[in-house]
Amino acid sequence: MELIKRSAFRKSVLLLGGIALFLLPLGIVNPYFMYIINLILIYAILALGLDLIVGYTGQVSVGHGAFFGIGAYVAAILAKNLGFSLWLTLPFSIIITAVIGLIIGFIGLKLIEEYLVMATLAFGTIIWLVFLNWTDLTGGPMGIAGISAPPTITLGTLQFPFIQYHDYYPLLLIFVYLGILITRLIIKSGFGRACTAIRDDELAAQAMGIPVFKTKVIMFTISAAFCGAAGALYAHFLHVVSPETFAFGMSVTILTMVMIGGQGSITGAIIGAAILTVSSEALRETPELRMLIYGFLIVIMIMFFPKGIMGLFQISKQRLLKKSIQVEKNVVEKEGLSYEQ
Amino acid sequence: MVFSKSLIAKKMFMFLVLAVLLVGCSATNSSSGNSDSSSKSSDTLKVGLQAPMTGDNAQYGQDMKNGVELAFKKINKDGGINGKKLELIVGDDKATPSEAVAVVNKMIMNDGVKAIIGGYNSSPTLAAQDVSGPAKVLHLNMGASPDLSKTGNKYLFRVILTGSVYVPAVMKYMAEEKKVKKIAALFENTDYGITMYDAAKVSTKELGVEFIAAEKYNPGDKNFSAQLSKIKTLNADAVMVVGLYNEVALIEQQAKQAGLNIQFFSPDDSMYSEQLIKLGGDAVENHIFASMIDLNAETPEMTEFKKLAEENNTPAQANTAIAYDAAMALAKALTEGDGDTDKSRDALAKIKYQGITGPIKFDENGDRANTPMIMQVQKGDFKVIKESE
Repeated sequence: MELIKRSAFRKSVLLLGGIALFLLPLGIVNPYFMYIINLILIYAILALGLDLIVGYTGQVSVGHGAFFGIGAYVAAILAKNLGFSLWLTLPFSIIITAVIGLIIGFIGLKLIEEYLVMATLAFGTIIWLVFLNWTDLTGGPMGIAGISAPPTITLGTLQFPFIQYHDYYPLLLIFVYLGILITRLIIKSGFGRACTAIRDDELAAQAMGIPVFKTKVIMFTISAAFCGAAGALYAHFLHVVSPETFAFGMSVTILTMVMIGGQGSITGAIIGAAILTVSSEALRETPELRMLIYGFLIVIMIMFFPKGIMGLFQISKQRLLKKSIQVEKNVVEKEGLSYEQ
Repeated sequence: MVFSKSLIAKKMFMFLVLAVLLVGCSATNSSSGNSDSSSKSSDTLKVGLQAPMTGDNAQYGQDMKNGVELAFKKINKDGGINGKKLELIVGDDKATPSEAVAVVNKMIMNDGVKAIIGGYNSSPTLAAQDVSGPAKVLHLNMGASPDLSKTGNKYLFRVILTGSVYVPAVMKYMAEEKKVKKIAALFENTDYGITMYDAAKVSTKELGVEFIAAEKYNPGDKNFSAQLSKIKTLNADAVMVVGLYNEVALIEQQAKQAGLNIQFFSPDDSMYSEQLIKLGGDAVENHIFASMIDLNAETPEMTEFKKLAEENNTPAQANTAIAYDAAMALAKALTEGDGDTDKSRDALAKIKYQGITGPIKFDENGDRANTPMIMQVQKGDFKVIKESE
């Protein structure tokens, strides 16, 4: 009874907190901070997407920057050449990246561990070269500029145009919430549990009758679709796409977000996205040292907190649990003693 | 029981962290943003440099930074902008559009720069001016793309000359001073070569000259005898070569060997390199081309710049000089505008300033409106044969 009450309380707190986050732009005057927060939201979707395959299914991909890029380029090309708005480019981006994800997953996931890493690395590089060299379609190194802002949203008499960075925030936040919701639904489902079973022990999962390959491919496809959505949002938010954004470095950045935040954790993915985006912006002051410091931070994180920040929370939680058990034991022992007396 | 309690504790902690983060954000905002502008803005004026500081183009970015720093040092020593000192904020655009947008966002919104010098490359500048234009920030760039003339952004100015200025200038010189009528074109089969040739064809009618041949070669070619012998049979008055100096040097050597003694010229300053003379030797003697800068000039502006560069141990490169000129012109406009963006913009649009790179004035698209100087290889050195106007 108390448990139900508590969970209801928890849910309402979460809901209130979630709604309160929409009011964030009111407190932030500096549009640059708003810009960074919006970037964090886009990266959060990416990290959530990659976490599905890395954190929940235990397959490492270093090619997700390419899926992000495909989503962004599809949106950019459709918006630029056919005049599509975000509401049309977004589904196209998601579908096309999902299809490519399906194909790559179908080929790549037959491989195991380090070979899968190599395959996704090769895929990422190929896609990047396509962006760079298919000049007629992608603009080559010049990229595509002047991508339209999302159309004004009209709710009754209220109008929400997209001019400032403040205007994008609620839209992006809604997409992050959607991402969280979908992730939760997946991992709580039987399919999601099959994925975690594969992560924990592939052989055992197979013995239990889980279709390992099929499950992995489906999860990989969903994961790619997340990146596609993030790509479309990125293109319409920044109004420009160019190939170097989606090079190998991007794939590594997304993977690092998941690693630093903590694999297999929604909160972890979002924290990872926030930390990496903020630190890379903060280090902008020293352009020559930026990559050096950034790399150093990542090495420190991976060396000392291999399970990420959420891993740290888990450790302290376990310690607390142990302590409280210990305390209970002590109490019992003491009481036992008193009985004896 | 214990489990759910700790879960709540975890969630509470998360919100706490979030709250602290938010407070931190808005706190740094008010402290760094507002107090900066209130305490510092009285005595400094911030100008951003958007240039590649890392990567393949880092050297050009460094040259630009050196030039702007030299100019700011001089301006600040002479009293600054109506008493305000100029402060440079350097932003690395990595020569890429998305980084340029990010860095220009930061410079405008966080640092509050009043103007931006840069970028060096066209595509980052095209992307960045989408941000700086609506924010009404003066943007003095060094990009070469013709698209930069068509943005409609009235705060965007270009401080270098481009093919659309070089080509007509050099064609006019050839037609009027050298009295050529029939020109053979020999150009590399790239975007660059084709664009230059097309631009040259446009100016032929009004000058009364014509192209009697359009020969192409591929970058990296070593033997040009086929093209040269064809040109020889046509009896042209001059040959326009568009390419890089290593191939041009070879072309002119092979022309001499084939007995084709003819005036060679190129439309732009890609020939302005010691390497041309080193590789071509006597064969490139008399080669004519257009350039926006003469580093050997003995004008008072150049002498002053070189002295300043020497005092500060800065190499006096072409890009350093162009960035220096941009900073000086900007300072003049900012002084006239006296803190008002639109007044500064109008002052820059109407500016007449004698810089190292010739007179600085802009046309209605924000492009440099002066003509380039015409240079010629004479006795193994570059000589100006016609000054810029």
